[in-house]
Amino acid sequence: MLHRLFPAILLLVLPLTGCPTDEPPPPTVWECRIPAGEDVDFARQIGCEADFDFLASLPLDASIPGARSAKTVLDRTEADAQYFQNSNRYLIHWEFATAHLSAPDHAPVPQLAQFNTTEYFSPSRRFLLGAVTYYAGPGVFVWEIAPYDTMDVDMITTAFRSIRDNTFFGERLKFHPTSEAVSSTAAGLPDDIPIITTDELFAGIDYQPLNLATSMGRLAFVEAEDVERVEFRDIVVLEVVPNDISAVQGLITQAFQTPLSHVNVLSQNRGTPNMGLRNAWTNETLRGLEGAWVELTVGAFEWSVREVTREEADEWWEENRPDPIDVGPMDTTVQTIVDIGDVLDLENLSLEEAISAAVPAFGGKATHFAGLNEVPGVPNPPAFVVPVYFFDQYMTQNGFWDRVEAMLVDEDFLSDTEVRLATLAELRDDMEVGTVDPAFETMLIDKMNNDFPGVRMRFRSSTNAEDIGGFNGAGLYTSRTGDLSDPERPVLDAVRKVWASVYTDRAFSERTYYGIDHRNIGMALLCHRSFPDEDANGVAITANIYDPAGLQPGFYVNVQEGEASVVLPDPGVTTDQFIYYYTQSGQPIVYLFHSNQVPAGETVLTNAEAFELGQALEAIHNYFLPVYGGTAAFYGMDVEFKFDSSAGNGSELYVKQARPYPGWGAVE
Amino acid sequence: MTHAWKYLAAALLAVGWLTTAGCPTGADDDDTAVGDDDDATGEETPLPAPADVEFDGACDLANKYGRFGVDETADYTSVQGQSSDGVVPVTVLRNIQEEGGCRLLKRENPFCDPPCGPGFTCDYDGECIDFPEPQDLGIVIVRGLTERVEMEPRQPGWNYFAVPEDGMIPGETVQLRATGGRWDGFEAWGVGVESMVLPEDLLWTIAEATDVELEWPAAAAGARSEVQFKLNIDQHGTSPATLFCDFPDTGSATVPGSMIDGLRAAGVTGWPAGSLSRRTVDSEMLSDGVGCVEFEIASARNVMVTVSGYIPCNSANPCPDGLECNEAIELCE
Repeated sequence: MLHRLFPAILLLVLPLTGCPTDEPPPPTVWECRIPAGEDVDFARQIGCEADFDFLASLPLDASIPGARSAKTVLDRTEADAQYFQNSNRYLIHWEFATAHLSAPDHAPVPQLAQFNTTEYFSPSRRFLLGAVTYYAGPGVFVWEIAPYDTMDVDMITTAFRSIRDNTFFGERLKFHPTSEAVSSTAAGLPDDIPIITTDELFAGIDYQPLNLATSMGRLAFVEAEDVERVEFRDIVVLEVVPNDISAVQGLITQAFQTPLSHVNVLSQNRGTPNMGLRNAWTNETLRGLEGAWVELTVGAFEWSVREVTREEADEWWEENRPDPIDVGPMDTTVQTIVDIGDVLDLENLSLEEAISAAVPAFGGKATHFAGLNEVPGVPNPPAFVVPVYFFDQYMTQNGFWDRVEAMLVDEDFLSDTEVRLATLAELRDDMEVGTVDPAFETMLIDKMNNDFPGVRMRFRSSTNAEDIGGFNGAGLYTSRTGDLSDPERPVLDAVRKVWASVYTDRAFSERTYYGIDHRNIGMALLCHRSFPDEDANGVAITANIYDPAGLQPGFYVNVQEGEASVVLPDPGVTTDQFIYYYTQSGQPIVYLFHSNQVPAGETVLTNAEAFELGQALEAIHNYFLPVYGGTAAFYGMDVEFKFDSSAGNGSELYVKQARPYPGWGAVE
Repeated sequence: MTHAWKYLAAALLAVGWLTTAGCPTGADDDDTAVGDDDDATGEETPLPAPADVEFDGACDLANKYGRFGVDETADYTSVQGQSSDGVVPVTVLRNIQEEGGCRLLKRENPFCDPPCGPGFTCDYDGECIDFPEPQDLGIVIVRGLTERVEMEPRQPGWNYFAVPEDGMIPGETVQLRATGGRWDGFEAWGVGVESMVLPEDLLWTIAEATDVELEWPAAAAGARSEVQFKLNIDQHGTSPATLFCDFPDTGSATVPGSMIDGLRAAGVTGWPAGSLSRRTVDSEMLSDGVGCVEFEIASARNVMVTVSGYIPCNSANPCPDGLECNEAIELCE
């Protein structure tokens, strides 16, 4: 008789052994595991949506919009015990593990630095750490590990299956590789672990927050060709991403933007909301409010718009209009061309003092370039600066100052957009053909012949009202190329055209918005060799712009093959955009977008080039830290770079600009 | 025995086999050769007087394979440790500034191309090397606490851990003895330290070019302990620099403002973390002639730190009165 019971006995006792059987477990009937209204530090299972909502927080890194995450901990010392931590209370795994899985009841959890040395890297680590994230756009639950985590296939499989078996959404759960390295490992995962890529997640996302802010203004739908005619109290809806836009109270583009596009940097500088929204042009809510005064809020995960009265909007404007920026007068005491190494007086002044002293004479761009010249290990080309004195001389000798003065007291000019645009265009046209002082012309040509013989030069704008803290001036002015040996590229034409860009419509409008006295604006010229044959060019921020709290430090990089623009790619053209976790072991790269200008599966920069760039970005970040960092809420430098092989030494990195980056919602 | 009982016995044997052989256990069987006492009588030799114990100090980071510690917190004392068969290169910090008993150590991050895969880590020659693996050290015994502690390794990671009741006895000699395993056995020494008692509301304020004055109840005369001050700005464990200062256990010390400035220059983000630890430190070279294991007896207390003009916050840590938390950037404004 008992022999007939043998299988039954085994069935009864096998579960007690803790070893798995081949029998599939009965389907779980999912119910909420966290009693309603109860405040818990963690759960062992997520049984319903309310459980997830309670445990989940906004992710530390908001590079993919519309996400909420609950961090997961699998403790391998306790038979693979699964925990879902209250991620609002415990922002990082270590905080939770220290509070609940450490001595005296468990083995001690080490200090944070030691924890991070082993628990994301060691093959014999105690914990398998990750996060379940719900992406609202595509409506998917995924499990993710840190981009630098070196879990092997077995570890990922173990942890994924544990999450799957302990969540009500387990059957729908997918694995999302967060970096190139994790993707490589994920390629070996078994078939029962479905994978979803970042590209697939982005495809399902409709909303792109670019600058987090709230403002009030009049909602205006504007065609691309009319973008210069917007008013500064408009909140503008556009189908396309413009290269630039005059000061407005908010921006909604139907096309998604790159975070370092000029319009976004300007929005950040102004502190005005900026977002991408698919189908914005036909969005019923927005269309229903066209022409109305509205309040627009761009949040990290959602946006809202509501109609307000004109009185509310006026009151808001009075309370929030930007404080005037006092640029101060030009310094015209420097009356000769200066080598870049002589711009900053670092022998007698601190860096901050030296920058402040140099900007009125050499402008923001040249001054910061001079700073770059001092950063060890940061390659930038030899350069010289034409100080603002020569701009002032040109304006005086040609009577242009008188015309500026007349404009600024002309009521028609000040109140009529069409008059203003026409007057500025006329001034620019005349400035492009004015007479250059002969002594200056000789000085410039001698400098080029002596120090840069036969070199095609780039003349770059450097006003005393750009690239300074509080006023970025991105994209307001122009640069031109001049070559003494090329009749197609006259040097003086280049100089005059750059000087004339002081009075572009947008530059004038932007300065007016900030209450900057146009009479004080002068333009120096930063001059160095041109880069006619770039291998790659890009912009980078020396901080993770998607992690304003600084818990996931990294660099944001936007780079493109060749010379094509990265801040405003042509329609249909994509660039490589990635977060470079340079300080993490293995320097993982998390690609947010891939360039379609390189073959599929390839990247614009090699690993070695990315590392070389990372070294430069770190050095730049640290060098300017005492000036713009310190106790600032968000600190990052906006860096322009290129890789160029025209010097014949292979593809070499050059850094051509660094300026303080206003930050993501950091500007009041 | 009837057939029926044979089946029952077979079932129970199967269960027994599954519970013992089918599921992995921790230490190897031969690790149970414990109690290899200090003389042929089987009795452990008396511990030397505290004044006679010699300390070799901390390991050089470049060959620090592991650490054992008797760590007293405000709530309990734990004995814990682990040793690997190598050094994770990123744990070898670079000394970038030194003054007044303080060292500013910076984390370096080697580069390998292509990046190292699972199970490997990058060294400073740009080569991917095996990630150091924790090792079996046999039974580890600690004597000189309120009770004798004998620890077997736990998995994963060959960790050693115990929570002795009451913990350490100030002024008493403590011996750590590893009995074998991967290397020949080794021993290291310490002396029980008095509890580090600090005011609960103690706050260190970090300001530019300003010394930080430290005060704590000095140890009794003749104590072997020293005091270590530690300060860093945590960036999810990737702090660019950490400030360490070692002082005599006299009750007061000064952290030079220049060292504070050096730390600030490395960046201020995230949550500042500070601690003051009363401790003794010894170390022992392993039988491979390269690796070193540290043994620390410590009573440490974390101290709140504020960087002037920079007050972090989040939903769980509100701002002081008069300030509001900007949760997007986790700073009080």
